[in-house]
Amino acid sequence: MYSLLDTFISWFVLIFGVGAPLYVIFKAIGFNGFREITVYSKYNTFLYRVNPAIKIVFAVVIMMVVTTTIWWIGAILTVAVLSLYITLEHGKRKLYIGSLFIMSTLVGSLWGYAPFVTYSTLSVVFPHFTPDVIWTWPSYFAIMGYQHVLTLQALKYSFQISFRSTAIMASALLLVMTNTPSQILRTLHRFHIPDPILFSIMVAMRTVSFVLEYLNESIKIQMMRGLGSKHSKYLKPIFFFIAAMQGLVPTIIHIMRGGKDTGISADTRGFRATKKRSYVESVPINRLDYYVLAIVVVLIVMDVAINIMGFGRTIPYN
Amino acid sequence: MLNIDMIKMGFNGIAGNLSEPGIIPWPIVAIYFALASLFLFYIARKNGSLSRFKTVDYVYVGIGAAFMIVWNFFVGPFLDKFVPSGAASFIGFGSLGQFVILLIVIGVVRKVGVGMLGWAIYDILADIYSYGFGGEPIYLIYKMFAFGIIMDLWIAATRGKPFGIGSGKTSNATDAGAKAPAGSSGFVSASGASAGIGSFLSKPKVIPVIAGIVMGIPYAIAGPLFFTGFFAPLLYGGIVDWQAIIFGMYASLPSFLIFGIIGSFIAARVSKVLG
Repeated sequence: MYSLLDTFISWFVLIFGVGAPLYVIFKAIGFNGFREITVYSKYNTFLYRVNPAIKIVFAVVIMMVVTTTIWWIGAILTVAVLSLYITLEHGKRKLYIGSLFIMSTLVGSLWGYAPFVTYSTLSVVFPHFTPDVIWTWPSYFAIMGYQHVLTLQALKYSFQISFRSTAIMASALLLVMTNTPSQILRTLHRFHIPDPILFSIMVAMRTVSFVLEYLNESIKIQMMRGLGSKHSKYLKPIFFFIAAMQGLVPTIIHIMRGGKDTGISADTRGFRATKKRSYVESVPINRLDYYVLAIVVVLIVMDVAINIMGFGRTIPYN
Repeated sequence: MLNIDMIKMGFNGIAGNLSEPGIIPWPIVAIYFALASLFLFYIARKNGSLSRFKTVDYVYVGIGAAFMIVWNFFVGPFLDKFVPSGAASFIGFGSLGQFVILLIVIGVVRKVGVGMLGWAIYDILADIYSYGFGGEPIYLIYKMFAFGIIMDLWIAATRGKPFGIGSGKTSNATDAGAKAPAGSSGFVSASGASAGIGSFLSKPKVIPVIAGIVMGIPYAIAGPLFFTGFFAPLLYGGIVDWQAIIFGMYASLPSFLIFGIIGSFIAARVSKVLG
């Protein structure tokens, strides 16, 4: 028999899990915030001088470590990589937005898993476990696919799954923020990716910021023209989405029209005209890169050590 | 004691687990991918829809990939929050949006290979922005051959006019009918015999519907089948649950059909505007 308080807490937890990430995305980050953490800006601290290839290796090793160790290693690495954001241009702001983004991803995906993990999955994950019940949901929550109880093990399992991606995400964004598209592509050229594909990726990387910018503009203009102005301000997020959806196809057409010019101007400069016309100069590796490589090696050694100590990943993913 | 996962952790974070109970045997997947590519090449060669990409086509694909990135990392996950959790396996806005955006790209480019190229560029871009090149090149192969090839087959089958718009070489059914006596192969004479259906098919509102259905169904099937059934265990030792795979197929089918048809109409519209 559920008391009023129990019902209240259940709904509060539910709304928090779904609403908090949404609120963070709308209010605090917005399309402008996304632009700030996905676009290169000129500055000169050590991260800007590290070779992009080394950053890619770093991200791959982070992924290796996170997927082979227990969840709190992933959590520590996430915090460590995020704290590097402070050294970037407008570091505090980037740290703030980056943390919000990672937090919302974390809460969102934790809440996407935890209430739904079945007993059978958990018994594969934690053999012979006795469920530690944290919370019993009202029975009608089953309509939404919720398990009857929320256990400590379900939270643990979901936490580990959630931290699987956050550290990698943070370090990948670091690459995009500290290197120009051209530097990243000159690095990818080493992996023998054909030139037209590199060109296409470069166009895409330049376009990502335009997409965010134009979508933002389109939404604001629609709001200024009075979309949703007759309704309560609490419905604003819904109209925000309506505006985003209505703005999407016009934005695609607008950017693709400009794309024609990009294609023509690349052609007039002789791109792909003959085999030797297009060439790529690679980014040099300097002493700083060797220091970062040393950190990478330390991470790998740490990974092996952690596994020997018995903090390896034993949990299968779904 | 060294953890068993640590040993399995092969090159670049690929677990390489090919003996998970219930996994699709790898030769079947490899043969399917190879046969599908050969079949694609054969049809495209046969009806002359193979053509070289221009620079502007690469630009269009790049722009499409940028939209897919913005959608998949910044818009889709938050749209998904509006979907009640119980319905989440029926509607995944992340992948549906990518599907629609790619439909627009193939509507604009209309050349065999654009589906696979689009997925390849998106995949590399997604690695740069979020996933960090872990598990490559397996993800690249998965996306190109499980999803991209479906769209290319449709472009090849429609001779470079996936939504009924475009400047394909042999454009209408009467053209194919006129050729039928000269060509001895069954393929050409079959299309000559169906000239009546051809005139029905050439109506502008019919083709996008067919395109949406023909591409939507394999898309809904390929995701759960190849990922949960083969690539998830291969990459990180995911559990193969055939009940979940079959449920996943049924669950995502309606939304892919609906969004396939809507997306095809949008694509036809956009390609008309851009010419």
